[in-house]
Amino acid sequence: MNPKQIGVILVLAGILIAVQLGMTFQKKARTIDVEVEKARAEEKSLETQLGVEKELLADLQRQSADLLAFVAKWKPYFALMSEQQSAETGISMIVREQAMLTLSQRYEQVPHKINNKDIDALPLLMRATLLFDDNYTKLLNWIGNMEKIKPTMRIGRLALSKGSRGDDLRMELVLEVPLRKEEPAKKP
Amino acid sequence: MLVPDTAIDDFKTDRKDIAPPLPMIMRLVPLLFYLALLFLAVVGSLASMHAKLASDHRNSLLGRIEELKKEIEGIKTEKTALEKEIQEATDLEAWVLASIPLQPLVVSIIDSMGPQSEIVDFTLERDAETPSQLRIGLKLNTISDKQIEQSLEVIRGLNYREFNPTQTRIQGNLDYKASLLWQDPLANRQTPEGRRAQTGVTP
Repeated sequence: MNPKQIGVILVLAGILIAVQLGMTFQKKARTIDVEVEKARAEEKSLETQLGVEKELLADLQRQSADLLAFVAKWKPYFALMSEQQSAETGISMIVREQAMLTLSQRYEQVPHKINNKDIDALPLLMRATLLFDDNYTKLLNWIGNMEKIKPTMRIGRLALSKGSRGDDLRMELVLEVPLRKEEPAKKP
Repeated sequence: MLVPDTAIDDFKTDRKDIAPPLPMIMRLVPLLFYLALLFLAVVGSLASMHAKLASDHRNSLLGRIEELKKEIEGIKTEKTALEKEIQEATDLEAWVLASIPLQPLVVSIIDSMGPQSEIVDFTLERDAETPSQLRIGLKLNTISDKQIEQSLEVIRGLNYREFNPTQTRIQGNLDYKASLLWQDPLANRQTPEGRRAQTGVTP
């Protein structure tokens, strides 16, 4: 191969390199274009998703507003789990104050379950099983008074039968006081 | 002495190692080379400029995508917290609706007894699985079955509906059992103050 031919090959190689370089620049630009398109599509889909999520949240807030307002009024009347002792003594004190003829009283804490499922918001019940033998009016006034003082307390069982004396009644009463889980401290 | 041009050529001897001339077509090679350089300069600079602008746009889009993702995450967290709050509120509401004071019901049933009827046993028991339901058991010493109807009228007047009733007469005593359900408990979204005002009927 003579020098002229070598020179031609070198120049042809230069042409090839220049064209290749130009094509590489163009390819790189096209790759970035594709990435931009992908990013634009992702942004659009995320904006749609954001809109849907905002709408769902607003719907949920609208639907639950009444429920939450109702419960907010009742929340302060629920005893907290840390107050289980005072819930117990609260009942026994009212029994003592009214000088009821009490045959027996038992207090226990039981897990609150419905259909074998734990109730997370009210995990414990303070259950008082009381047995009275006293005057009819006094007994029923006492129940009414208890339901007034503790509006979240409920009667689990009530059994009335003849008492030991003339007008007296024997009343077996199961009272249940729910204990609410403490709310986690909110971050400042 | 002047030597004519043509004559000088005559002094040259032919070079033996000179390469043969390239074909005529090869004259295009330098032209193609310059065109290739021009292509590189134009296409390369345009592509680089375009790539730079596109890259900036892509980066801004990626930033926006990150912001959107964070915003969606924030809303999802807020929604999860609200759902948890609703679940808790539903549990509390269920308790409130199932803890309607029973003293007015007990007093009304006892007051509904006629002069020739006497309560032997009276039980009210809450269903453990469905706390809004009560199981009533009334054992009466009465001569007439009408007494039960009279008591049921009173119970219905307090918005309770009875179902699955059974009535038997054993040794002169009338034994009545039924389940009681508070009618439309959702209509009774009482405030604690309202409930307190309702309870405590004088026996």
